[in-house]
Amino acid sequence: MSPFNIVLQQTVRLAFRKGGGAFGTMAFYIIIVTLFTFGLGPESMNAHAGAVMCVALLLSTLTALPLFYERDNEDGTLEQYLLQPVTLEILVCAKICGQWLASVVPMLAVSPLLAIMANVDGEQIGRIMTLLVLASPTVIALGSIGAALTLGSKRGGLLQSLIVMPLYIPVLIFAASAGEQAALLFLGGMLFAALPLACFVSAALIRISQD
Amino acid sequence: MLICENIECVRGDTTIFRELGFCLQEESLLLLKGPNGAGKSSLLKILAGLMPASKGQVLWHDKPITGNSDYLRDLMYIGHKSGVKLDCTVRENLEFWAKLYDTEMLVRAAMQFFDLTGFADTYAGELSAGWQRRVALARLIVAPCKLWLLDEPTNFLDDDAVILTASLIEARVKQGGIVVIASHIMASGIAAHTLYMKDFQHESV
Repeated sequence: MSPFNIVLQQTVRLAFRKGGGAFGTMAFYIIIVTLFTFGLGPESMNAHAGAVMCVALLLSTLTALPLFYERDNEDGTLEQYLLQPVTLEILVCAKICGQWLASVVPMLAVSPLLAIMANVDGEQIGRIMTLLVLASPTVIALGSIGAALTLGSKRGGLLQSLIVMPLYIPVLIFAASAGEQAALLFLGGMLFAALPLACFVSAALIRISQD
Repeated sequence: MLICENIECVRGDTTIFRELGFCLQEESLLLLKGPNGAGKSSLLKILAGLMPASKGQVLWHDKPITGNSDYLRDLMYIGHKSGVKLDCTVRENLEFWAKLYDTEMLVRAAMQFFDLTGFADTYAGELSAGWQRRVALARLIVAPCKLWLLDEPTNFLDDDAVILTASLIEARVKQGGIVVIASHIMASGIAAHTLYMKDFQHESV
Protein backbone atom coordinates (compact mmCIF):
# COMPACT_ATOMS: atom_id res chain seq x y z
CA MET A 1 0.00 0.00 0.00
CA SER A 2 1.37 3.40 -0.84
CA PRO A 3 2.25 5.80 1.97
CA PHE A 4 -0.51 8.12 0.70
CA ASN A 5 -3.13 5.42 1.20
CA ILE A 6 -1.71 4.35 4.56
CA VAL A 7 -1.87 7.89 5.97
CA LEU A 8 -5.28 8.47 4.37
CA GLN A 9 -6.69 5.33 5.97
CA GLN A 10 -5.27 6.20 9.36
CA THR A 11 -6.60 9.76 9.23
CA VAL A 12 -10.12 8.63 8.38
CA ARG A 13 -10.10 5.82 10.91
CA LEU A 14 -8.92 8.07 13.74
CA ALA A 15 -11.42 10.81 12.89
CA PHE A 16 -14.31 8.41 13.41
CA ARG A 17 -13.01 7.25 16.78
CA LYS A 18 -14.08 8.78 20.07
CA GLY A 19 -12.88 12.37 20.20
CA GLY A 20 -11.71 12.22 16.61
CA GLY A 21 -13.93 14.99 15.37
CA ALA A 22 -15.93 13.44 12.52
CA PHE A 23 -19.20 13.15 14.41
CA GLY A 24 -18.61 16.45 16.18
CA THR A 25 -18.45 18.41 12.94
CA MET A 26 -21.56 16.70 11.61
CA ALA A 27 -23.48 17.42 14.81
CA PHE A 28 -22.40 21.06 14.76
CA TYR A 29 -23.43 21.38 11.14
CA ILE A 30 -26.88 19.94 11.81
CA ILE A 31 -27.35 22.24 14.80
CA ILE A 32 -26.38 25.40 12.92
CA VAL A 33 -28.62 24.68 9.93
CA THR A 34 -31.50 23.73 12.19
CA LEU A 35 -31.15 26.91 14.24
CA PHE A 36 -31.14 29.01 11.10
CA THR A 37 -34.16 27.15 9.78
CA PHE A 38 -36.12 27.97 12.88
CA GLY A 39 -34.68 31.45 13.11
CA LEU A 40 -35.20 32.59 9.53
CA GLY A 41 -38.48 30.92 8.79
CA PRO A 42 -39.49 29.02 5.61
CA GLU A 43 -39.54 31.83 3.02
CA SER A 44 -36.17 33.30 3.94
CA MET A 45 -34.69 29.86 4.29
CA ASN A 46 -35.84 28.89 0.81
CA ALA A 47 -34.02 31.84 -0.67
CA HIS A 48 -30.84 31.55 1.38
CA ALA A 49 -30.47 27.85 2.10
CA GLY A 50 -27.32 27.55 -0.02
CA ALA A 51 -25.52 30.35 1.78
CA VAL A 52 -26.63 29.18 5.20
CA MET A 53 -25.48 25.62 4.59
CA CYS A 54 -22.18 26.83 3.21
CA VAL A 55 -21.50 29.02 6.23
CA ALA A 56 -22.56 26.19 8.52
CA LEU A 57 -20.10 23.90 6.76
CA LEU A 58 -17.27 26.42 7.12
CA LEU A 59 -17.92 26.96 10.81
CA SER A 60 -18.21 23.23 11.45
CA THR A 61 -14.87 22.50 9.85
CA LEU A 62 -13.32 25.08 12.16
CA THR A 63 -14.15 22.81 15.09
CA ALA A 64 -12.05 20.05 13.54
CA LEU A 65 -9.02 22.27 12.84
CA PRO A 66 -7.32 21.87 16.23
CA LEU A 67 -7.31 18.12 15.63
CA PHE A 68 -5.79 18.36 12.18
CA TYR A 69 -2.11 18.17 13.10
CA GLU A 70 -1.94 18.79 16.83
CA ARG A 71 -2.34 15.16 17.90
CA ASP A 72 0.22 14.03 15.35
CA ASN A 73 2.57 16.70 16.63
CA GLU A 74 2.18 15.66 20.25
CA ASP A 75 2.74 11.95 19.78
CA GLY A 76 5.64 12.33 17.38
CA THR A 77 3.88 11.13 14.24
CA LEU A 78 4.65 14.40 12.42
CA GLU A 79 8.31 13.92 13.20
CA GLN A 80 8.14 10.47 11.64
CA TYR A 81 6.36 11.84 8.56
CA LEU A 82 9.37 14.10 8.04
CA LEU A 83 11.62 11.05 8.18
CA GLN A 84 9.80 9.10 5.48
CA PRO A 85 11.43 8.74 2.06
CA VAL A 86 8.17 10.04 0.60
CA THR A 87 7.85 13.82 0.15
CA LEU A 88 6.02 15.41 3.04
CA GLU A 89 3.70 17.23 0.61
CA ILE A 90 2.17 13.90 -0.43
CA LEU A 91 1.51 12.88 3.16
CA VAL A 92 -0.02 16.28 3.85
CA CYS A 93 -2.25 15.80 0.81
CA ALA A 94 -3.29 12.44 2.27
CA LYS A 95 -4.17 14.14 5.55
CA ILE A 96 -6.22 16.81 3.78
CA CYS A 97 -8.09 14.21 1.73
CA GLY A 98 -8.63 12.11 4.85
CA GLN A 99 -10.01 15.09 6.74
CA TRP A 100 -12.36 15.85 3.86
CA LEU A 101 -13.60 12.29 3.78
CA ALA A 102 -14.07 12.16 7.53
CA SER A 103 -15.40 15.64 8.28
CA VAL A 104 -17.19 16.73 5.14
CA VAL A 105 -18.69 13.59 3.62
CA PRO A 106 -20.95 12.96 6.66
CA MET A 107 -22.09 16.58 6.42
CA LEU A 108 -22.78 16.17 2.71
CA ALA A 109 -24.71 13.00 3.46
CA VAL A 110 -27.15 14.77 5.77
CA SER A 111 -27.40 17.90 3.63
CA PRO A 112 -30.26 16.73 1.40
CA LEU A 113 -32.33 15.96 4.50
CA LEU A 114 -31.52 19.32 6.01
CA ALA A 115 -32.39 21.03 2.74
CA ILE A 116 -35.79 19.35 2.67
CA MET A 117 -36.37 20.41 6.25
CA ALA A 118 -35.43 23.94 5.18
CA ASN A 119 -38.18 23.97 2.61
CA VAL A 120 -35.91 23.82 -0.42
CA ASP A 121 -37.23 22.24 -3.61
CA GLY A 122 -35.65 19.36 -5.49
CA GLU A 123 -33.73 21.17 -8.22
CA GLN A 124 -32.22 23.64 -5.83
CA ILE A 125 -31.06 20.83 -3.59
CA GLY A 126 -28.99 19.54 -6.47
CA ARG A 127 -27.40 22.95 -6.98
CA ILE A 128 -26.67 23.35 -3.30
CA MET A 129 -25.06 19.91 -3.15
CA THR A 130 -22.82 20.75 -6.12
CA LEU A 131 -21.75 23.96 -4.42
CA LEU A 132 -20.95 22.21 -1.18
CA VAL A 133 -19.02 19.44 -2.90
CA LEU A 134 -16.94 21.97 -4.84
CA ALA A 135 -16.36 24.39 -2.00
CA SER A 136 -15.65 21.94 0.81
CA PRO A 137 -12.25 20.58 -0.29
CA THR A 138 -10.96 24.15 -0.63
CA VAL A 139 -12.22 24.87 2.87
CA ILE A 140 -10.36 21.87 4.28
CA ALA A 141 -7.22 22.75 2.33
CA LEU A 142 -7.20 26.30 3.69
CA GLY A 143 -7.93 24.92 7.15
CA SER A 144 -4.82 22.80 6.87
CA ILE A 145 -2.73 25.96 6.42
CA GLY A 146 -4.30 27.52 9.51
CA ALA A 147 -3.73 24.36 11.53
CA ALA A 148 -0.10 24.09 10.46
CA LEU A 149 0.55 27.76 11.29
CA THR A 150 -0.29 27.33 14.94
CA LEU A 151 1.47 24.01 15.48
CA GLY A 152 2.98 23.73 18.88
CA SER A 153 1.24 26.71 20.38
CA LYS A 154 -1.03 25.50 23.11
CA ARG A 155 -3.92 27.87 22.61
CA GLY A 156 -3.86 27.97 18.85
CA GLY A 157 -7.51 27.19 18.27
CA LEU A 158 -8.86 30.71 18.19
CA LEU A 159 -5.87 32.00 16.24
CA GLN A 160 -6.35 29.29 13.63
CA SER A 161 -9.96 30.33 13.13
CA LEU A 162 -9.08 34.01 12.85
CA ILE A 163 -6.38 33.34 10.26
CA VAL A 164 -8.44 30.98 8.19
CA MET A 165 -11.76 32.84 8.11
CA PRO A 166 -10.62 35.68 5.83
CA LEU A 167 -9.36 33.01 3.44
CA TYR A 168 -12.80 31.43 3.44
CA ILE A 169 -14.50 34.63 2.25
CA PRO A 170 -13.81 34.25 -1.49
CA VAL A 171 -15.11 30.68 -1.30
CA LEU A 172 -18.22 31.87 0.46
CA ILE A 173 -18.85 34.67 -2.01
CA PHE A 174 -18.87 32.30 -4.95
CA ALA A 175 -20.77 29.62 -3.09
CA ALA A 176 -23.50 32.06 -2.17
CA SER A 177 -24.11 33.24 -5.72
CA ALA A 178 -26.85 30.67 -6.15
CA GLY A 179 -25.08 28.19 -8.35
CA GLU A 180 -24.58 30.04 -11.59
CA GLN A 181 -22.28 28.38 -14.05
CA ALA A 182 -19.52 30.96 -13.63
CA ALA A 183 -19.54 30.60 -9.87
CA LEU A 184 -19.17 26.84 -10.13
CA LEU A 185 -16.23 27.23 -12.48
CA PHE A 186 -14.59 29.67 -10.09
CA LEU A 187 -15.06 27.28 -7.20
CA GLY A 188 -13.52 24.48 -9.20
CA GLY A 189 -10.61 26.70 -10.15
CA MET A 190 -10.08 27.72 -6.55
CA LEU A 191 -9.96 24.07 -5.59
CA PHE A 192 -7.27 23.30 -8.17
CA ALA A 193 -5.24 26.22 -6.87
CA ALA A 194 -5.89 25.77 -3.17
CA LEU A 195 -5.10 22.08 -2.84
CA PRO A 196 -1.48 22.11 -4.13
CA LEU A 197 -0.86 25.45 -2.44
CA ALA A 198 -2.11 24.07 0.86
CA CYS A 199 0.07 20.97 0.51
CA PHE A 200 3.23 23.00 -0.11
CA VAL A 201 2.56 25.65 2.50
CA SER A 202 1.46 23.18 5.19
CA ALA A 203 4.48 20.97 4.58
CA ALA A 204 6.83 23.95 4.84
CA LEU A 205 5.17 25.06 8.07
CA ILE A 206 5.39 21.55 9.50
CA ARG A 207 9.11 21.36 8.69
CA ILE A 208 9.71 24.64 10.49
CA SER A 209 7.74 23.54 13.52
CA GLN A 210 9.77 20.36 13.96
CA ASP A 211 13.08 22.18 14.09
CA MET B 1 29.01 3.93 6.85
CA LEU B 2 28.04 7.05 8.75
CA ILE B 3 30.40 9.99 8.72
CA CYS B 4 29.95 13.20 10.65
CA GLU B 5 32.20 16.04 9.52
CA ASN B 6 32.82 19.07 11.68
CA ILE B 7 29.24 19.47 12.86
CA GLU B 8 28.28 22.60 14.74
CA CYS B 9 24.95 23.04 16.45
CA VAL B 10 23.61 26.48 17.30
CA ARG B 11 20.32 26.97 19.11
CA GLY B 12 19.30 30.59 19.38
CA ASP B 13 22.43 32.41 20.48
CA THR B 14 24.18 29.45 22.05
CA THR B 15 26.63 27.17 20.35
CA ILE B 16 25.87 23.81 21.88
CA PHE B 17 28.73 21.92 20.31
CA ARG B 18 31.24 22.45 17.55
CA GLU B 19 33.76 20.57 15.41
CA LEU B 20 32.05 17.32 16.22
CA GLY B 21 33.02 14.49 13.93
CA PHE B 22 33.11 10.71 13.82
CA CYS B 23 33.17 7.82 11.40
CA LEU B 24 31.12 4.69 12.04
CA GLN B 25 31.53 1.51 10.04
CA GLU B 26 28.93 -1.26 9.86
CA GLU B 27 28.50 -3.27 13.08
CA SER B 28 29.10 -0.25 15.28
CA LEU B 29 27.39 1.05 18.34
CA LEU B 30 28.00 4.65 19.40
CA LEU B 31 26.99 5.80 22.87
CA LEU B 32 26.45 9.52 23.39
CA LYS B 33 27.29 10.54 26.90
CA GLY B 34 26.88 13.88 28.56
CA PRO B 35 24.83 15.81 31.09
CA ASN B 36 21.40 17.27 30.34
CA GLY B 37 21.60 20.06 27.82
CA ALA B 38 24.89 18.85 26.38
CA GLY B 39 23.34 18.40 22.97
CA LYS B 40 22.79 14.65 22.73
CA SER B 41 19.22 15.06 21.49
CA SER B 42 20.25 17.87 19.16
CA LEU B 43 22.99 15.72 17.67
CA LEU B 44 20.56 12.89 17.08
CA LYS B 45 18.12 15.28 15.42
CA ILE B 46 20.89 16.59 13.18
CA LEU B 47 21.82 13.03 12.27
CA ALA B 48 18.18 12.30 11.52
CA GLY B 49 17.94 15.36 9.33
CA LEU B 50 15.21 16.93 11.44
CA MET B 51 17.43 19.85 12.30
CA PRO B 52 20.06 21.44 10.08
CA ALA B 53 23.59 21.75 11.43
CA SER B 54 24.91 25.29 11.30
CA LYS B 55 28.22 23.97 10.00
CA GLY B 56 29.49 20.69 8.68
CA GLN B 57 27.73 17.79 7.04
CA VAL B 58 26.65 14.24 7.65
CA LEU B 59 27.42 11.58 5.07
CA TRP B 60 25.75 8.20 4.63
CA HIS B 61 27.72 5.90 2.32
CA ASP B 62 29.65 8.97 1.22
CA LYS B 63 26.58 10.91 0.14
CA PRO B 64 25.20 13.91 2.08
CA ILE B 65 22.02 13.12 3.96
CA THR B 66 20.13 16.25 2.88
CA GLY B 67 17.49 15.31 0.35
CA ASN B 68 18.74 11.74 0.36
CA SER B 69 15.76 9.40 0.36
CA ASP B 70 17.96 6.29 0.52
CA TYR B 71 19.18 7.56 3.86
CA LEU B 72 15.63 8.04 5.10
CA ARG B 73 14.78 4.52 3.98
CA ASP B 74 17.68 3.09 6.01
CA LEU B 75 16.96 5.21 9.07
CA MET B 76 14.79 4.66 12.13
CA TYR B 77 14.69 7.46 14.68
CA ILE B 78 13.02 7.15 18.04
CA GLY B 79 13.12 10.41 19.94
CA HIS B 80 11.51 11.63 23.11
CA LYS B 81 8.14 11.65 21.42
CA SER B 82 7.40 7.98 21.00
CA GLY B 83 5.60 8.06 17.66
CA VAL B 84 2.87 5.87 19.10
CA LYS B 85 -0.71 6.90 18.32
CA LEU B 86 -2.70 6.75 21.54
CA ASP B 87 -6.04 6.38 19.75
CA CYS B 88 -4.91 3.26 17.91
CA THR B 89 -4.51 -0.24 19.30
CA VAL B 90 -1.05 -1.73 19.70
CA ARG B 91 -1.62 -3.92 16.67
CA GLU B 92 -2.81 -0.97 14.56
CA ASN B 93 0.24 1.04 15.57
CA LEU B 94 2.61 -1.69 14.46
CA GLU B 95 0.61 -2.46 11.34
CA PHE B 96 0.97 1.17 10.27
CA TRP B 97 4.74 0.67 10.17
CA ALA B 98 4.42 -2.80 8.69
CA LYS B 99 2.41 -1.40 5.79
CA LEU B 100 4.97 1.33 5.17
CA TYR B 101 7.80 -1.20 5.02
CA ASP B 102 5.80 -4.12 3.62
CA THR B 103 6.61 -6.34 6.61
CA GLU B 104 3.20 -7.44 7.84
CA MET B 105 4.60 -10.83 8.86
CA LEU B 106 6.90 -9.24 11.44
CA VAL B 107 4.11 -7.64 13.50
CA ARG B 108 3.38 -10.76 15.52
CA ALA B 109 7.08 -11.37 16.22
CA ALA B 110 7.51 -7.75 17.30
CA MET B 111 4.60 -8.02 19.73
CA GLN B 112 5.89 -11.31 21.09
CA PHE B 113 9.37 -9.92 21.67
CA PHE B 114 8.14 -7.11 23.88
CA ASP B 115 5.38 -9.18 25.52
CA LEU B 116 2.69 -7.11 23.86
CA THR B 117 0.63 -9.98 22.46
CA GLY B 118 -1.84 -9.76 25.32
CA PHE B 119 -2.32 -6.07 24.61
CA ALA B 120 -2.62 -6.38 20.86
CA ASP B 121 -6.14 -4.97 20.75
CA THR B 122 -5.76 -2.50 23.60
CA TYR B 123 -5.66 1.19 22.76
CA ALA B 124 -2.14 2.50 23.31
CA GLY B 125 -3.58 5.39 25.31
CA GLU B 126 -4.76 2.92 27.94
CA LEU B 127 -1.27 1.56 28.50
CA SER B 128 1.23 2.89 31.00
CA ALA B 129 4.14 5.01 29.79
CA GLY B 130 6.48 2.03 30.01
CA TRP B 131 4.28 -0.17 27.85
CA GLN B 132 3.77 2.64 25.34
CA ARG B 133 7.54 2.84 25.09
CA ARG B 134 7.62 -0.89 24.36
CA VAL B 135 5.21 -0.30 21.48
CA ALA B 136 7.51 2.45 20.23
CA LEU B 137 10.55 0.17 20.39
CA ALA B 138 8.65 -2.71 18.79
CA ARG B 139 8.72 -0.86 15.52
CA LEU B 140 12.47 -1.42 15.42
CA ILE B 141 11.61 -5.05 14.70
CA VAL B 142 8.88 -4.28 12.18
CA ALA B 143 10.92 -1.80 10.17
CA PRO B 144 14.14 -3.35 8.82
CA CYS B 145 16.38 -0.29 8.99
CA LYS B 146 20.17 -0.35 9.00
CA LEU B 147 20.69 2.78 11.08
CA TRP B 148 19.03 3.33 14.41
CA LEU B 149 19.10 6.70 16.14
CA LEU B 150 17.71 6.27 19.64
CA ASP B 151 17.25 9.08 22.15
CA GLU B 152 16.96 7.67 25.67
CA PRO B 153 15.11 4.56 24.47
CA THR B 154 14.97 3.06 27.95
CA ASN B 155 12.93 5.92 29.42
CA PHE B 156 10.08 4.52 31.52
CA LEU B 157 11.12 0.93 30.84
CA ASP B 158 11.28 -1.65 33.60
CA ASP B 159 14.35 -3.85 34.03
CA ASP B 160 13.02 -6.66 31.84
CA ALA B 161 12.32 -4.30 28.98
CA VAL B 162 15.74 -2.69 29.31
CA ILE B 163 17.33 -6.13 28.90
CA LEU B 164 15.14 -6.85 25.88
CA THR B 165 16.10 -3.52 24.30
CA ALA B 166 19.79 -4.14 24.94
CA SER B 167 19.61 -7.54 23.31
CA LEU B 168 17.73 -6.09 20.35
CA ILE B 169 20.40 -3.43 19.86
CA GLU B 170 23.16 -6.00 20.18
CA ALA B 171 21.51 -8.21 17.58
CA ARG B 172 21.11 -5.29 15.16
CA VAL B 173 24.76 -4.35 15.53
CA LYS B 174 25.93 -7.93 15.00
CA GLN B 175 23.85 -8.14 11.81
CA GLY B 176 25.75 -5.22 10.32
CA GLY B 177 23.68 -2.30 11.51
CA ILE B 178 24.78 0.98 13.02
CA VAL B 179 23.17 2.20 16.23
CA VAL B 180 23.69 5.65 17.75
CA ILE B 181 22.14 5.91 21.15
CA ALA B 182 21.94 8.61 23.80
CA SER B 183 21.41 6.90 27.08
CA HIS B 184 22.12 7.34 30.72
CA ILE B 185 21.55 3.66 31.38
CA MET B 186 22.87 1.55 28.58
CA ALA B 187 26.58 1.12 28.79
CA SER B 188 28.41 -1.97 29.86
CA GLY B 189 27.77 -5.32 28.30
CA ILE B 190 27.79 -4.17 24.72
CA ALA B 191 31.08 -3.25 23.12
CA ALA B 192 30.61 0.34 22.10
CA HIS B 193 32.37 3.48 21.07
CA THR B 194 31.59 6.36 23.37
CA LEU B 195 31.30 10.01 22.42
CA TYR B 196 31.54 12.46 25.29
CA MET B 197 29.64 15.62 24.43
CA LYS B 198 31.89 17.69 26.70
CA ASP B 199 34.79 17.14 24.30
CA PHE B 200 32.97 19.32 21.80
CA GLN B 201 31.48 21.97 24.00
CA HIS B 202 31.97 25.64 23.35
CA GLU B 203 34.48 27.19 25.77
CA SER B 204 32.04 29.43 27.53
CA VAL B 205 29.65 26.60 28.45
